[in-house]
Amino acid sequence: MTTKAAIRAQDVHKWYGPLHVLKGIDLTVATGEVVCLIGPSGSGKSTFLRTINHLESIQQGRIYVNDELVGYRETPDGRLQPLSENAIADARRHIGMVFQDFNLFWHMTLLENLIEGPVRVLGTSKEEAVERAHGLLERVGLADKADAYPRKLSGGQQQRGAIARALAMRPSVLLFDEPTSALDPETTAEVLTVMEELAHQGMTMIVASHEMGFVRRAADRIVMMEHGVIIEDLPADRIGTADGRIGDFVRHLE
Amino acid sequence: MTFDWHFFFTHLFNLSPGYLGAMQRTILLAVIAQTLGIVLGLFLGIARLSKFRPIRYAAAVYVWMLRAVPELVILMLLFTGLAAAEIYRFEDAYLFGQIKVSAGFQAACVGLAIREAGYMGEIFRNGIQSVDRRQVEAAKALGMRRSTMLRRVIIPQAMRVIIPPMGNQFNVMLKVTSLAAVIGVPELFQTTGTYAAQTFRVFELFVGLAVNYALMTSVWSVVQSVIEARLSRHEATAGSRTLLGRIREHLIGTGGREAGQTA
Ligand SMILES: Nc1ncnc2c1ncn2[C@@H]1O[C@H](COP(=O)(O)OP(=O)(O)O)[C@@H](O)[C@H]1O
Ligand SMILES: [Mg+2]
Repeated sequence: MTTKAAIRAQDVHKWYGPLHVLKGIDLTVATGEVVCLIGPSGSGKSTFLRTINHLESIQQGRIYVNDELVGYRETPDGRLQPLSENAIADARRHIGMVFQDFNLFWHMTLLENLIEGPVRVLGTSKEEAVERAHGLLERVGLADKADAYPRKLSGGQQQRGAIARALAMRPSVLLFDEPTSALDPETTAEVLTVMEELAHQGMTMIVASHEMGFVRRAADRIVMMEHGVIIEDLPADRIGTADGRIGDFVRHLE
Repeated sequence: MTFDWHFFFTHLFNLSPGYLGAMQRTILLAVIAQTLGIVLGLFLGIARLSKFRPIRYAAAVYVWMLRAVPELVILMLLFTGLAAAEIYRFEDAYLFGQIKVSAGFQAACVGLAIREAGYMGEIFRNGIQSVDRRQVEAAKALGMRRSTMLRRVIIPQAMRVIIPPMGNQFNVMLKVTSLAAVIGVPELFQTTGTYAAQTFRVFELFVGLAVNYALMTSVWSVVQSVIEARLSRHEATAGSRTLLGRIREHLIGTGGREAGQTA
């Protein structure tokens, strides 16, 4: 594994009006690394993930994905200028995101969901996109659901479809925001299996999730946030013996 | 009271060429004005949601004016008023050098279209705002630019909310075309008036006219129901609303007494 940084967050601050939500986040994720993000509700996990693909703007700090500054341009005197709306959109192409509530486009079939990004954003030919989409559906175990509309699928199927949709863009990093929180234990397992396979195939991932099974089987590092700061950053295999705040928190989960 | 049944039925089931032409003109006027109104309304709806305040305000003023002024006044201003002020005069035109498009017909298309745009603009705005923010975020996360997002995700999803009131607008439009009589367009209403003056069968002719309008709008309601049923194919519970249920709804509204009690 190379140690090239896929994601570098430096001193990231975010305010919602007077509410200081991210208070100086520093995090580097190497290419191929899988980082699990934990922390109590409201600690800023979602907000942080959403700053990485600039669904949320930041007021201070820098975020680099593959050494490219996200959302801004640095002026010669070191200040940040927001990029144009189109430039921001273009920068998101290879930063995949999987949401808690799946958010497949409900007016399109699963197959149409998967080819939408490649065809409309990347300019891939339709034939090529369809062929790749079938391969991806196979990979997430939905080969027979290509023509189904999302609302006719179970939650687990929708989430696997959403992962396939993100993969169709050939992302260099994948962000997961509580991908199994809306699922029951049974379907959670089928989604986690897909994610674990991805992790083992070398995908760079940040996963906000409290699934300790996933952490043990697939994560390289575990990072804990609280009140908008990172309070712990441990190798995943140390989680069993961790003490202090993170130890308490994890024991509480299980 | 004397009602000439023979005259009535002959008139209703054996329409004269002049009357058929008038009906054609009515439908054509409604379709053209509605189409123009939809296109204008789409821009208006997007303008009302613009990030730029002047654009937003200009669109809001347009909507307000069109709703505040009677459509008869709009038609008179457009056709007679502008000409009198020597600002613009509608002239008869010939399509492909042969099909005559009268000045009044042109003015009626434009007048009814700008009226319609005011309503359609609000319908589009409402529809666009009804789109789930999370669907928009999913589109953003794929790297879609705003124009692609509008075309591929926002407008298609908004259509679920837009189509039913848009269908109702066309129903209204079919009837509102009768106002074009005031600027001399020989559509159904005006033509019926002319026949009435010639034959003195005022009652029979206007009952017949009512039946004709009811036929057109009812046929449209069925078409509308079929379109809506087709568009809802992705819904989780397909067929929860039957085609017949939709048709009934468009013809006489949602279930009378039961709906009244829960309201
Ligand atoms: N759009 C928003 N506007 C205002 N406050 C927000 C918004 N989104 C999140 N917050 C606040 O930011 C804090 C962090 O939220 P979030 O990132 O969702 O935490 P987590 O994902 O760890 O539960 C919370 O206090 C939340 O109320
Ligand atoms: Mg969250």
